[in-house]
Amino acid sequence: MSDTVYQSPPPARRISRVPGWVRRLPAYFLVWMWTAFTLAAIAYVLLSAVKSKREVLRSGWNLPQEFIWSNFATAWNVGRLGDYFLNSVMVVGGSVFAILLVSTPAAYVLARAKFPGREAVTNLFVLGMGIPIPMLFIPIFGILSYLRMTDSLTGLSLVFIAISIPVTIYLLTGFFASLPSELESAAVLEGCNDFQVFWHVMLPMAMPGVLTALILNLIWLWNEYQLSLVILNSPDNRTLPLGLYSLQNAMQYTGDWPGMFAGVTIVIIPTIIAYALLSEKMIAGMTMGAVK
Amino acid sequence: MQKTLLALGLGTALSALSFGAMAQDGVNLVYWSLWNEPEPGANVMKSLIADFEAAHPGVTITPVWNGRQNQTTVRNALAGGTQIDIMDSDMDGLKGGLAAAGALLPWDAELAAPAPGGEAGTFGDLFYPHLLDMASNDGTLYQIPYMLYAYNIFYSQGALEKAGVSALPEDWDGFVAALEQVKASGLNGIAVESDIAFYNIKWFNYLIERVAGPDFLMRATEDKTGETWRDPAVLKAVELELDLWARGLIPAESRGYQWPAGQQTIAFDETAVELVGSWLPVELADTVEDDFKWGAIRFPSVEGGLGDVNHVEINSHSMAILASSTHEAEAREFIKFIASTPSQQRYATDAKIGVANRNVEWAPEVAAARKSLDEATLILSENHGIKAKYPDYSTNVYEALHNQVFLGSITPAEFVDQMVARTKEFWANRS
Amino acid sequence: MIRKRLIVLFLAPASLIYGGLFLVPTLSTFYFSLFSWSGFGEQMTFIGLDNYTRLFNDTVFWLSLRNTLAILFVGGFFVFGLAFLYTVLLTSGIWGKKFFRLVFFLPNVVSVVALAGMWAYIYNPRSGLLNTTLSAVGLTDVAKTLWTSPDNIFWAMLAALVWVFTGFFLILLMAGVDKIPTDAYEAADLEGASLWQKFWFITVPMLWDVMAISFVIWMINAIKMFEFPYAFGFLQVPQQLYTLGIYLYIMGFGQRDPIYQLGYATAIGVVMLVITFVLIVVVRRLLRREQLEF
Repeated sequence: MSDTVYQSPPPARRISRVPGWVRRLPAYFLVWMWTAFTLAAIAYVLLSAVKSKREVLRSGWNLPQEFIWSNFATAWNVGRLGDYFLNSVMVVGGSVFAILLVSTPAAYVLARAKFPGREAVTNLFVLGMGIPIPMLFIPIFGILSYLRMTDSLTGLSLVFIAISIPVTIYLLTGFFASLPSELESAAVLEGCNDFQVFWHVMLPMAMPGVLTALILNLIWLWNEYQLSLVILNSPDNRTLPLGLYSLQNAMQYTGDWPGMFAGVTIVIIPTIIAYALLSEKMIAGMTMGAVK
Repeated sequence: MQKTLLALGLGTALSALSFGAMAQDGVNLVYWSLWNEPEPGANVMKSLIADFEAAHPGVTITPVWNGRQNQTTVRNALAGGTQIDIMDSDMDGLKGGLAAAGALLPWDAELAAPAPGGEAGTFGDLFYPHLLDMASNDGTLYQIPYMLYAYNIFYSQGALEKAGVSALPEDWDGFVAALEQVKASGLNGIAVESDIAFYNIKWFNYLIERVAGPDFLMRATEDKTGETWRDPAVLKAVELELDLWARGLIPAESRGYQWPAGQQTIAFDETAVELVGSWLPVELADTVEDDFKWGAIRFPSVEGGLGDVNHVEINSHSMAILASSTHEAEAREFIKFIASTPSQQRYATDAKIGVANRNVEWAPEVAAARKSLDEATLILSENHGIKAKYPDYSTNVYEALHNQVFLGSITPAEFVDQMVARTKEFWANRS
Repeated sequence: MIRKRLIVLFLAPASLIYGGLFLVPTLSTFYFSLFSWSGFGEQMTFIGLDNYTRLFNDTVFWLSLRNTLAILFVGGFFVFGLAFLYTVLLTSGIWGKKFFRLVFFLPNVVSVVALAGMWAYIYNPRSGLLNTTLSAVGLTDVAKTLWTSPDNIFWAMLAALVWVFTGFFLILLMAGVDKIPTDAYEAADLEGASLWQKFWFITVPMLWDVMAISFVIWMINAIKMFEFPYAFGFLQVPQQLYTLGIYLYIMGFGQRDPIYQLGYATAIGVVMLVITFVLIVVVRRLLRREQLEF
């Protein structure tokens, strides 16, 4: 990429004497419009979570007459959000680890090895990215029941791994392909065998890409609910998005909207905090995969 | 050889023994439920399960709270070989789904048996007249209705009083005039949710029934040329419902209401009435003021029409036993227990839901709905049977197009033309 | 040189899981699409290509296709237009860039179910965030708009969708911009280039690869779009919001209605697959560059 020649822009107006921050005022304005909207939307959810059932529907931006903190307790207990949080951590954590475990070597081979049919195999993997998930509900359920893994977190994890392989391999092959081959040749000259080349040379260089894949999968699987809805049935096994979905259903049928917003708050606040803490790494990693 | 036989015999004896032991250890019935866990309906079910287990040592019931899309979940699970004994769902949904697929056990032989719990009469006598007929597929009953909802015009007594309307008339012109009075008092007339087509369709269902009789809808649907939709009755029904918008009895901003924005205006005493099933008071129970009083009338009659104010459309939840159940006897026992008068009374009292058992008193919030059923001369199923028989037509054509005309996206003439064309298309694609 | 043994060893686990739980199920749906099948038990009737001829004559299918394409192209136009705009703004040296980037991406980490619930309250005609804010700033006429009326609901949903996805692609594009050597911009600054000129003559050419990947990711997501419009539809998804993915779900799983036409539903899935692949091939051809070849 760095060797791409860019065109010099044609000479334009003289450098203006207006200070930089003034010239950037319109930029600040536009950026703040968006930011304010997003923050307001989130604040609205938080505000609604502490209102009474009657007030939530009417009072808009007004502060509640009385803060109903018990909404959180209701949502937490009724929604069993603590249990579901653990389920989600287990399923998503286990799946993401396994996805990387199987996809990284595969992507390496597909990107760097030479063998007949390599392109076809790569395409076969990448093809999976375009497959609509709802199409797979029935056959996947059939296979899982054959494996006696319906309504189990292990079964769901297996499916998560399978559906994440295409995009992970797509990202990682791109990443491995972009690595320079000099180090590889040097390592071979020094007597490394092919596995050692992968393990000691290529994998460390590919770590940013692996991190990318990790983070993307983490985000996608953390919020996944279509497949979970089909595969998991017993309330004990629900993941967090499913728990939130059923909480929302339940709250709708009982008119408990603040309870629903409280549930949403409980789910999104830790996510946002984790995201704020990790965002630097996350964004750096995420972009490294796509942006070489 | 002898040894083998002996071994086989022993094996059989052993397995028979262990089977016997298992039966004594207990039977576990797996029940997949249409309730969400925190709903009042689920709470009553939990207490009924506890009572049943106490009365039947050795039988346990494992409920799985799936919510309203239960039948779809059950179907997926069955395809995967999951063991389920009992499930419940919308009556018409079951008719067109699991029952039509032959996946449920029939009940006909049980109907003449004595009612459970030593009650007078037969098991079949417990239910509203005709309800079991409606629940049957070609004369065979595969499901036991237990919850019953009537589609009525529900109203806030407080709102009507404020407007000086003493009673809502059950004839169309009187009904419209009363709502005009409500509107003049500064309140809104009718609550509508724009996005729920299966609520809005009830206006047309009732109007076409009142104008052209209870069999018109099925006739029009089953006319492969679609031309029955050109009957002037269709235009008349559409014009009557659109008149409610034109008069401002349905506030114009309702076009933007996403459920439950509309019904909430009733809870806040801003709107007087809504045409909806008798679950509404339950859904709004926590939103209304404590002194809120519900009332309901039957859908008004239309002068000179072929229908009758005593024809009431209903929705029902039913329980069913899956054909793959290995505990048929216990499952039947449990469902009979749920259908028995004391159990049903608990539903009516604690959850304030209407029930299928005719001997049960309903909660005051829905007492008027029960009265409309008691007086009904004809009970109509969802969309007059179309939902069960032609579910894809019902959802994709009938309800969807009606919602467009009801909300003013197409004109009545366009509605008629499109109904004709799409009915034709439906039948062409079906062959 | 990578030996055959390692190739096999490295490819086997991924192939096995992917093949068994993804590829085989997908292929089996091609097979199912030739049948009339309710999904209950084994009663399947072979009907050849009838499901496909029926699709061709099905008004709702064309409506769903139109909506899907509207998401793909109109939504894509705004997603990338806004993502580019804000990329330029956020990399123009404003203070607090990292904070803004965080906020823009935020919707992507929040559950779709929660987002849909939130937007319903934003759009509520009377008490919603949008209309109350609009009337508070004096735009009383605009505040009368019914954002979720049947004529507007699709676009209202799309606006929310754009809000979510802009942040996602913004991150990708910004990272691409960060990789552009700063001396390129410094040289341009010396020559007095405007923001727009820098964008057009430096940023765009050097972002080419990132853009190509972003387009492909967007296409794939747009064509199989399901979760957001579905959640936006609450109890019953209005037909105005049907995408191919939702129509597939309605026909195969029916929400609460017993439609259950799995053979037909899988035929919709097959069509989605075909559209995706045709578009991927086209886009990759159009944006082809040596570096893009994975």
